[in-house]
Amino acid sequence: MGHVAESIKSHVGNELLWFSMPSDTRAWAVVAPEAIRRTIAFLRESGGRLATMTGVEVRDGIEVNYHICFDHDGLVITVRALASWPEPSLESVAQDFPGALWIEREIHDVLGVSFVGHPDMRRLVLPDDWPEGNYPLRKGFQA
Amino acid sequence: MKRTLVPIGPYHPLQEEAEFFQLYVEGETVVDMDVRISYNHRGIEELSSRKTFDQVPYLVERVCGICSASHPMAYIQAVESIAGVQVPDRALYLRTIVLELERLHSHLLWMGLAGHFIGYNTVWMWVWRYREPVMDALELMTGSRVNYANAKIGGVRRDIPPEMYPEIRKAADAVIGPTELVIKAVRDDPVMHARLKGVGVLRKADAKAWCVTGPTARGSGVDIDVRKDEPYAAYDRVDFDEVVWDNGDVYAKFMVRCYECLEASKIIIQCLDQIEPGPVDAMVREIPPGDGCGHVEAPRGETFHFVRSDGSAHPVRHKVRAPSYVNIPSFKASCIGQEIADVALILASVDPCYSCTERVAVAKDVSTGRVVWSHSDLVRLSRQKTARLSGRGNRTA
Repeated sequence: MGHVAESIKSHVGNELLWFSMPSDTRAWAVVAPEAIRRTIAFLRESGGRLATMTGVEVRDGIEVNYHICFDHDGLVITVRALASWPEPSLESVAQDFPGALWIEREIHDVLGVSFVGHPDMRRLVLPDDWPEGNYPLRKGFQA
Repeated sequence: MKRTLVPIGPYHPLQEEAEFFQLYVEGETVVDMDVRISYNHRGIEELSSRKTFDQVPYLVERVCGICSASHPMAYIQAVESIAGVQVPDRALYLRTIVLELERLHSHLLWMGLAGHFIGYNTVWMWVWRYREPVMDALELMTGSRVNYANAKIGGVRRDIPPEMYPEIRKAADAVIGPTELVIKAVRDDPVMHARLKGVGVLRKADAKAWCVTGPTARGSGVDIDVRKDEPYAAYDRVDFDEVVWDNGDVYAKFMVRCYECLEASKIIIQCLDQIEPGPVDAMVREIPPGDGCGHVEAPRGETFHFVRSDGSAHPVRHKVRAPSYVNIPSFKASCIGQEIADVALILASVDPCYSCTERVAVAKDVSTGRVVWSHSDLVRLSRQKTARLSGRGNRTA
């Protein structure tokens, strides 16, 4: 299991900002936003499966967590990248494989992160008549 | 050929959540499709951040009425990984028993519905009858047929007396005979082969690209199962097989679910043999700041939860990803090129939520807006195909 951890360090290089592996089953990494697509592609090639993604609003922007399961190693690596204010955006990973299509659409709907290069950025969870630019999971949201 | 849009959905009174399948058909063949969801968005992730850590399991067991043990379990394991909790052994066994009883009732429910869609209503009625003892065992153990409120952070909420073991064992045992009967009936019936084999094939590469999980993945030869890969509860102490079939068709998914019922029954009986008296709660007092991921093999596939704590009484962020969220989009890979009479069955084959296909369905001609097919027409089509294959003429079963 250590090998995935080692290879992520050598593959992502200086754009890997932080890495921690507190147990045999969980690892956490922070990468520079420019490197996210490359990192996820590399982890998928190494046998990882994207379980899902979580958007979290933090002080500097929207943090997107990519949860990658290495099923046969029993390891979950969470890779984190920050989409900074004022216009949070990240490169889309859904252009590389369809399993990320829905979750990127959902994060775009509720937190307003633009995923650049996404092939089909229609609404997924918000109704068609929802006002543009109003993101219900952001902290300042007023119903 | 003229292209027709066949909308299936979005609302049906039996369904707790709504989906809307839009099939584009040319003649009898599906050429493209789209799925629209979230007609009934409940905002559970936001709601969860307003509950205390101990209240959240009650909320997330309502994500799904069928997986109401798996969702709290994934959440609880995420929180326990933040707090570094050592859960007592007895609690781990009790959790395993409830999770496997849940798998039994979910798979049996699905098998019955699959029979109904094919036009074998006897299978439907009988399988649901065999499911009842499992529901009774769940009620006996947890006090409820659904929404068990059984697991809590650090253990389980309710211990069971040893006098209950024989009752639970009886329920687990009772499933084996009927399941073997169904397996044999499906295997020996040429009509079932004609209806299920080679239908709605999800190839292994597609299964990986769409990141599907559970029986949908294992029916396509992808050998992933959280119970084996990252054993939680007491799964590392019991002996069971991971059921994997390679074909990727509806038949493979049917068989995976059937054999998983036998394995579930085996697991429950082993747990009852091994369980020993002891405490059932680690008495967790506070949750430190940190991030945690938890995943559980629910009946339909992996359910994944992410929790962030800042040391207060509430989670700051709680992400819920149910298995159907990754399994449903894969229809795009499995439905195209199929006959419309098979679509009801293919949509049902990932067990999207049992009545997903049994909803208001109206087919309209795109150019004229005239209604072409209704939901009952679609089910009738599916049943007629079975009747035709079994030489019973054009009669509905």
